[in-house]
Amino acid sequence: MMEPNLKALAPFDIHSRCRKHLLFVHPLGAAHVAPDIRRMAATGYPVEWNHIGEGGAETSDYGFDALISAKRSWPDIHDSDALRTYLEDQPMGTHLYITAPWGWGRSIVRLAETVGYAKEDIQVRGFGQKYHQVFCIACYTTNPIDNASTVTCRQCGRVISVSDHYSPRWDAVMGYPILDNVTKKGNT
Amino acid sequence: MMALQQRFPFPLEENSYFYSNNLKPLQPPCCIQLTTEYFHEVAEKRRLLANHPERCFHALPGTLAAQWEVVDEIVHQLVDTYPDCFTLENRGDEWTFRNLLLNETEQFTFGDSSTLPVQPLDWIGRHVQEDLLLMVQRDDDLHLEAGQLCFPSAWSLTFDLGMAFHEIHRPVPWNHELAEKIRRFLLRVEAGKPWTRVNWAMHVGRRLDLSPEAFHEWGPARYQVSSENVADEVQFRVEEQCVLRLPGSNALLFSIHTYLKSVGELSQNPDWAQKLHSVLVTLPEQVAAYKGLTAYRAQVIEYLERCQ
Repeated sequence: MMEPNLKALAPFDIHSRCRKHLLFVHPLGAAHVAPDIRRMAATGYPVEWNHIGEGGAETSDYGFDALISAKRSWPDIHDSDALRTYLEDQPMGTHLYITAPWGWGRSIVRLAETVGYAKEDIQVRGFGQKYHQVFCIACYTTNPIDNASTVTCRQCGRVISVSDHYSPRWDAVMGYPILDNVTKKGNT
Repeated sequence: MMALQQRFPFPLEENSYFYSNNLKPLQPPCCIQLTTEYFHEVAEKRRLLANHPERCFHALPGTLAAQWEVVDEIVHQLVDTYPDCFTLENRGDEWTFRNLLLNETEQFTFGDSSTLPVQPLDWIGRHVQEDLLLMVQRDDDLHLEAGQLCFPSAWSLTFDLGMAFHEIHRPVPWNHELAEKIRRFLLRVEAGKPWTRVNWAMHVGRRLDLSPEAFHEWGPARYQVSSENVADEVQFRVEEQCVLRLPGSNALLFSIHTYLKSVGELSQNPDWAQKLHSVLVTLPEQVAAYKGLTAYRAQVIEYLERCQ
């Protein structure tokens, strides 16, 4: 993945009433969370650093260590029972802050919601390509996408237009078939 | 036998377009309308359910109790409001429901889904013209978790199932603040105090099923409108939506009754024609696109001007 431009991303809204801050940080976003961590630490409640994905610098390289109460690493978050258990074991009032590629972020959100976290307890600062799949509404097949605005469905062969209407259940955006052989007004 | 009613809830009250939630208390508190199209539309719903079950009915696990509440609510609305058309005998949980319009009798044990041929929401939906949707309230939000949807206006229950309110309604050309106001309002709807609103759109071809799954069937017609066929082919589509709180599950039931009138039929009423003309002239382009009428708006305006 190319280095994303994170400068345009808004800072996290630090919840002063939450009792614990859990940060999930992908290596590509690690250098951009320093101001957030300082504000979290200023609340007086624990800040736990969760490194997600492979590689990346250590927190000591960024000067965070004094502000962090615990560190963990999750090379793979998908279908991770250990991560589920970790989230389940947190006290009431725990708040999640996620800085990661969108797909990773959504995976953590899904897992957190299934173990009982409310939407307002989770913030995602995603980067990179936002969606990776498009759902062909004509045949109900999900297709991988890149940055193109249309995709040829691998199942039915229709050309579908990639919308930004996203379904968490399908982890895909809606794809509408493009009409062909249509004589539009003015084209006759 | 009680006569079925002719009904068309014309929604435009102003001479220019503005978006509002236009929610009003539902009086009388019955979300089911029996119209002269009853036999045709119920038959069409059943045909769609038989041919396209994958897109017309969905229910997530955990919604059965709310579905039974819907059966309880609608059966009693039917027998109370239309006693010549529907009857109910019950001894405890043993119910006998008769649809006298269709000459059908169903005996079942209330609360026991194995005694119905399909899930409870699906079953009662086959006796009414309305689409029925269940939104479950949790975490201070509303989630679409079950529905029987045969006459959608270009949205998919299969795709939207499980979504929260803002996830369903994004992207739309409303401002987010209004959508949030509506969501907050819906969260506060109380049991016993149902609400109603009307929504409108236009499309081409006299069909109620505008599912995106069937876009290849109905989409091309929007580019075939001419001055010769605009009066018959372009339809003014009104959705009368009712929302009521189910006290047991705390879910919200949405009923949607869809009405169609061709532009030609609508122009028989000069006041309606004048209002529609004024609204179409002032409709913002992005709203026109959202309502799917960009391709033929000019022809409709021109036709309505010819009628004046």
